[in-house]
Amino acid sequence: MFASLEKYYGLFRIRAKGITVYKGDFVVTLLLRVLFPVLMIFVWTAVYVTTGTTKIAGFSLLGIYAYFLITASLAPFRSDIDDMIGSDVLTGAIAVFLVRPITYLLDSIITDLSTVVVGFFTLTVPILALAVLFVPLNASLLLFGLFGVEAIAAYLISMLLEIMVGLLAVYFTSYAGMAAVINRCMSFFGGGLLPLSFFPSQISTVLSYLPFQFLYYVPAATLSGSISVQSSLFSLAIAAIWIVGLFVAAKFAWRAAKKHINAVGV
Amino acid sequence: MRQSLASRLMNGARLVYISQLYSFKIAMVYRAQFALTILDTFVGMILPIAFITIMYNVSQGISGWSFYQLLLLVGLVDFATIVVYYANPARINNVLRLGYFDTYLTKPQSPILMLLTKTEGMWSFFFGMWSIIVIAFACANLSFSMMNLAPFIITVLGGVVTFMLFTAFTGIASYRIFSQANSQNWLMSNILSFGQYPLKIYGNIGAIIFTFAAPIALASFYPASLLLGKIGILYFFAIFGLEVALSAVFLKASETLLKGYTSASG
Repeated sequence: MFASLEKYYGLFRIRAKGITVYKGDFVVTLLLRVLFPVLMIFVWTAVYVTTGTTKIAGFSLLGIYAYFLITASLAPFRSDIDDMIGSDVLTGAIAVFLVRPITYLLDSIITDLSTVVVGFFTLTVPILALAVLFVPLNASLLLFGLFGVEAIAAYLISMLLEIMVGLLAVYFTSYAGMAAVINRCMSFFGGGLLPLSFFPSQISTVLSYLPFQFLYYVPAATLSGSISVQSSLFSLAIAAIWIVGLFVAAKFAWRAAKKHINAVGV
Repeated sequence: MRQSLASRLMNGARLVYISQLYSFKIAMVYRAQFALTILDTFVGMILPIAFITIMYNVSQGISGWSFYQLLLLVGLVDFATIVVYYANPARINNVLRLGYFDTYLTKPQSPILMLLTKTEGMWSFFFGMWSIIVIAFACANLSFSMMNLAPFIITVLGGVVTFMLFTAFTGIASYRIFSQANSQNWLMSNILSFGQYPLKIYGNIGAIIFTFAAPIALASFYPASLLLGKIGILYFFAIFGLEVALSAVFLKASETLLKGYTSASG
């Protein structure tokens, strides 16, 4: 069992090192992640200050600052596994994995996890530190703990959804356009661009039944104190149900996709 | 015998036309992907509009700018987005890094023109199409003097050319600085996002940056301000002069940087 874990740990280390090979590009990418919350800070400062508004949908100006910084810190928890799977299917590289003594999906998840872990230390922690120091974000250890659990749930939901998106490449010769549309919608309806409480109430109600809210809105609203601890715990319970459901769906999707994979030698 | 300027311009225009026609034909081989690309560009265009719609639904928006005025800015930035597909920094970096540029040096056309036209024009076409619809819709709901229309169109086109040359310069500069430059496209995407809002919200430093260093304001804010009468018509000459000057600077800088190109053949 330990030998099996060791091989996955070895893969994890190799992938994590590979992320930082192009150091200049890596550093620029990190800096660029901060640009969107900076833009939102400028925009919403203009809205609040120039119009004399103090609260919008329960968010004060500092609350909005905290919200966008926290959503930026969640960026590493958005899985890129769909790109990996899609690319492997289109190039036929997936055939190699099907004959290896390693589960293809597990290998992809480990590669993806390495990105998450590197991103956590290089992006999540510094941005949250910025939020705590400059907003300032006055969150208790309990809220940070809840945020941590919700961030993990966000990653699991994102990964399971993206696995199914990536497997579309098995059925469509070129799936990139569809994947781009789905990913944009997931970000928008997940609260990546705006808190979901800003949406009209009918749309907000529909979105509260979908899993996308757990990608950004629920963790950010929990840590910024916009929703109560009880609501956070209730949301976590809903997220757990979604994770189980999506896991089953992803398993079925993978089994069905394996029968349709066309590659040289398969 | 040296070609006349008119002849060179005609050859350049013919090259652009044939490149784009070829890229369309290639793209239409995969019809489902073609349809999804149209959908992707539509969703990419609609999300910023949904953002400002929700912003004006929950608040009074940005002081001094109505919803339709902001919609005009969004449409202009979407129009400027088409240049990112032509002067795609990551693609330019790859072309230079992998040595494909060698073949451009042997052609009778300008290497920079070859660099800008050898791309997939499909996304540019559809982004341009959607953006013109948005600009027309915004203008239909705005009142402005018809005397401002010609200066508006001239400064939009001039601003787009300036931004395209800036984007190409960024791609070529990234070749000299980075081994891999996938982050450059993301940088352009962020700069475009900043261009969707009035310049005044970024303060004096922001205004200088987005006018001279990353001149998206020349393609969006200044033309919109001219059309809406927010700045006097005499500013047209200053803006157009700046566009010409900056275009010359970025073109000259790109040509200078290309002198450091190392051929893949040694």
